Amino acid sequence: MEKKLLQIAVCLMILISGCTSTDKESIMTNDTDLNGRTVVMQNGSLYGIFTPSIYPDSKCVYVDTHTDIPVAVEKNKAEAGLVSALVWEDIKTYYPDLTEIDNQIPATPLAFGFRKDEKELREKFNHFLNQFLNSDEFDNMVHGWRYNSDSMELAKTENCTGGVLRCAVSADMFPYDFIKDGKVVGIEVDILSRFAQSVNMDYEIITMNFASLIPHLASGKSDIAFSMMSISEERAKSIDFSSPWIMEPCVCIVKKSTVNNKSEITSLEDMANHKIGVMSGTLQEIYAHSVKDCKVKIMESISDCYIALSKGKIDGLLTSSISFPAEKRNFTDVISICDTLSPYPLGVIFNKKNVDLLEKYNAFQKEYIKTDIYKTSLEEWNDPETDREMPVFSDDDMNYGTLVLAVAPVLPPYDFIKDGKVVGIEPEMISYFAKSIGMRLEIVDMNFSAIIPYVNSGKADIGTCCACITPERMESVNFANSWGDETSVLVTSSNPIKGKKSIIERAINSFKKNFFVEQRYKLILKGLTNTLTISFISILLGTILGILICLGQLKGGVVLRKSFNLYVTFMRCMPQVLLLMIMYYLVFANSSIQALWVAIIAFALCFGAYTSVIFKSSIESIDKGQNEAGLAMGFSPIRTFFLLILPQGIRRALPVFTNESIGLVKATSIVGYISVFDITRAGDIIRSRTYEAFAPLIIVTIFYFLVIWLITLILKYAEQKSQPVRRKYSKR
Amino acid sequence: MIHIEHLTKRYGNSEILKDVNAVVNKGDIISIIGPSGTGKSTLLRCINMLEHPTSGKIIINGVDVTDPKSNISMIRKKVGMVFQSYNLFDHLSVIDNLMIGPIKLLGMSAADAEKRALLLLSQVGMLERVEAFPSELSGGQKQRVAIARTLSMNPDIVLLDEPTSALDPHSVSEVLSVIRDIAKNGITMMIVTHEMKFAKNVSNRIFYLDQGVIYEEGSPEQIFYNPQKELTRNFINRTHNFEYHISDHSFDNYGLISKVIAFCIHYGFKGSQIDRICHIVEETVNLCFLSESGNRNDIIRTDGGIDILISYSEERDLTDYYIYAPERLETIINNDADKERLSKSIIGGISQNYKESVQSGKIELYIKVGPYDASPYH
Ligand SMILES: Nc1ncnc2c1ncn2[C@@H]1O[C@H](COP(=O)(O)OP(=O)(O)OP(=O)(O)O)[C@@H](O)[C@H]1O
Ligand SMILES: [Mg+2]
Repeated sequence: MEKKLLQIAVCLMILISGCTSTDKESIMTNDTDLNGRTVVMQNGSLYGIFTPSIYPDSKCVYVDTHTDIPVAVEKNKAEAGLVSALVWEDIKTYYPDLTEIDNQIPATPLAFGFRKDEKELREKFNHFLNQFLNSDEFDNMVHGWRYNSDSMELAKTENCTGGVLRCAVSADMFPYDFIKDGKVVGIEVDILSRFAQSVNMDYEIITMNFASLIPHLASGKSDIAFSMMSISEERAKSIDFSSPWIMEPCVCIVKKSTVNNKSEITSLEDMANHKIGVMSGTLQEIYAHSVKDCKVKIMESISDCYIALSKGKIDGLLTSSISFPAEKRNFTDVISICDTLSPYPLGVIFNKKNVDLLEKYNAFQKEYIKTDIYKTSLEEWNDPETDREMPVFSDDDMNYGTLVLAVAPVLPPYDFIKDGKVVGIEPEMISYFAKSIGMRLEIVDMNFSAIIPYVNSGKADIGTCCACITPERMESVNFANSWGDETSVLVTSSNPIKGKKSIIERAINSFKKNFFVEQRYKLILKGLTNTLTISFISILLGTILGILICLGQLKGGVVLRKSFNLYVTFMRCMPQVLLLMIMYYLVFANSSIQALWVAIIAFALCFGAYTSVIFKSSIESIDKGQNEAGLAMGFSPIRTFFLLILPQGIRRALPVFTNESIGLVKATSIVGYISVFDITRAGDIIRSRTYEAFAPLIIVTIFYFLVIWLITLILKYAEQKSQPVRRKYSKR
Repeated sequence: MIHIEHLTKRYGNSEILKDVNAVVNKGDIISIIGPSGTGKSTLLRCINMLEHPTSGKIIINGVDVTDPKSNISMIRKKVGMVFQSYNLFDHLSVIDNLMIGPIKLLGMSAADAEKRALLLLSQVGMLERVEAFPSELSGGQKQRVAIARTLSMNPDIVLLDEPTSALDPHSVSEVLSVIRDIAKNGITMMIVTHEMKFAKNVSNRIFYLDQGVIYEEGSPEQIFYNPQKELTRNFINRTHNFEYHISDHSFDNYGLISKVIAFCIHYGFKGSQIDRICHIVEETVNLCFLSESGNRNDIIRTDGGIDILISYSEERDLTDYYIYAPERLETIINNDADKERLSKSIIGGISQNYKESVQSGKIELYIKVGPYDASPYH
């Protein structure tokens, strides 16, 4: 009967704990921290039953004595330990590095063990226990042994004549049973002595390992066993238990260093010795650098900062108070700590030479910010529910040319991409301005760090990127009058909880969110088109260039050879990013050639240099006897080369050439630097909206894989074609 | 057909060809022989201008090829060349190797070129492998295809630079017989070769090149059997020797035979020749130890053993065999012990020309082996 009850009780506990765990899921606790960790506990304790059911991903390790548990945690043998609350209360002062975290392990019922054939003794004991637990004495006794064991005395039983109770005790569990002045004492011993007294019996304590208690008792060598013994089904098979005398709460201990103490952060000053993430080139970056002893992580977009925060790579981030509400919607597990950082003025960027336009703009802006359009734009761009769109003007009225606007669309609600188009408070403002001066607006999007060089080089007339007006920046560009102020918010993470959804479900959701919502696949496809265009055309042009350089080096005069050598050396030493930037911002600074074509030219120039080396070495590797045989037959040197040497050279060059082409495709991922929208940038833009790292990166990877696969296929085909054909002849 | 006048060629300070003068007539088959490094290849390569002469004139069919104004590609079409390292076009199959020249240079139609290629391939015995690529052929097969490729251009003269020296003995004979066949067709050829038998049997003129000049030239008979000048004589008569010492009956018989065979193979002996020489060695050594009383072995051990000398003259294709035994043996051809005359008849079957004599305290048995009339070129 009791056994049944016990089973039900255990089941209930598990159930309840299961329910509470799902309840707690939504509110923030530390509980899931145990999940996935190595947890150390005492061998045979009930924790070993509860832990796998509550924390299915955690790994249990067992030690024999409970004093080993904190040691194991401290020495990093386990990430967390489960101990009884009373025990921990007593020893925690010895382990300053350890701390408690919440857990859902139910309290454990502790009881005394009896032999199965001693039903009578057990009945007597239960009877005694029932009375004793309800008396005030019990609490006093427990308190006394815990805090003032020196003054405690056990009940006297020397004169009892009703026989001797033999007790099996492990005697290493303060305050339950422990050795003091050579005598085994403690709460449980106290209870036992009182019981013995009550039944007029003496008692004898036999100490042993915890693991030996039950065999010792079951074999009849002792009559009662106790030592913080918890009731378990397993044990109930070999011994009987008394009613539980106490429900012992469980404490989960971990190293302090593994616990988030972010709640300690209440101001920017508290970020000292912590890592803080900021978006590169923003006002927040300047703030972050001013915090003492704080490690600043500069990232390309604010969404990268949020992702880093959620992954625990940084402890906090600084963002704009205006964009924070939008960010918070996407990223729920954040707390804004303080938003009192001093405001900075925001301004639109102009080329220094174009003072005229600046003045016109200042005049326009002064009026514009008084309008309702402006006021609603502030609110509505910030709210994803509204379907605000960019104003559309017919080109007919625009008689004064084109106004080029450079935007870094990574900071909603100022500048961001929605349904594949650049939108936001700033672009809208500029579009009204363009209309007011009768110009057509052309928007170019690019990385944040590219905006100022872009405007500076005259490629764009205006730049917007929620730019703070700083003296440093004012040296290279002009700012329009400030149209608003920006304050900064310090954001830290409340402990993120991983959802209980299955991995596949999450993956699908995340894929949908990153690929279909807001037609994001259009961004990817646009990027893909550009990546393909750049790769294919520059491989084509580069190959032609490579062949020409190779021919020049093999057959040309000294001057040609030397200058080609110089060119090849130069190109091979030049990082492709730098070449790209130099081409765009210096060489083609004042030409109207598209950025896409600049990228193609830059990559073709590199590729030509790289492949010329491949062609040259493979042609040189052909035995010179082939050349002599051709000459001796009567072919002119030129015909010998093209008819006999080159076909063999190409055959040898193709495998390496394929490799180089793959390298080129991957290298095109840097074109974002000059505002070309390729797959990598598409991925970046999506990340900046969805605040997710995994899915966009995987999608981008897959598309690169496809492009490279396509190129490999084509070159494989070429390789097959270059293989000599075996012509069939009927033997005559 | 070809006039070479005062041709000199120097590489830096070393003058390889000093003053070469020669006239090649139509139908001549000229073998150029001489020690290694004397400029045989250089001379040949000067003729088709793969090497530019330092001075002198080479006139082919009335055109001075050393003249920068002359169209060397035109002349090369008429002057074929076969290389030591074949130099087949690796990316073309056998038939394409033969067709590319006629089509691209002679303007032949593909069908004609193919017909001709197949004809030539059947001539060199390569019709089986028309579809093969050079990398799929043996050395001898490659060289036969290379010869056919040269012929595909229908040249007036073919220059061959050691066409067989990269081949194993078996392939050598395969290629040489192809060249022999072609020589019969009346084409003009200049062959640099180390195959003296071949040179002797195929050519009508021999150039012995040494000291940077054509040191001696003449008919094969004159150069090989009656050379006039000292260096030629030394070159023709130089021999390659094999020596072996046996101290007593317990010598390593298998070791001896395998060393003899290795020597024979090194100088390109054919299987039947090798067999004969091995027989002679075995039988003569056997005769030395053959005795009724058993004391011949003791004599040999105490008197300093037996010595064997095989002396091969490559240029004259002569092999001389000598075996020296202690004088106390009295005779090597031991008629008393060799009761059935077995060994003697074996030796006699191989060569009639043997002689036993006593030379400075040793018995010398001399056996003349070869030249052989079993050779395929004879
Ligand atoms: N390109 C070169 N530069 C310098 N010296 C050369 C060059 N080619 C050949 N020689 C030298 O010219 C000499 C003649 O070479 P060649 O190859 O004509 O000799 P060969 O008679 O054909 O010798 P072999 O019988 O070994 O082929 C050699 O001493 C060689 O070292
Ligand atoms: Mg040579």
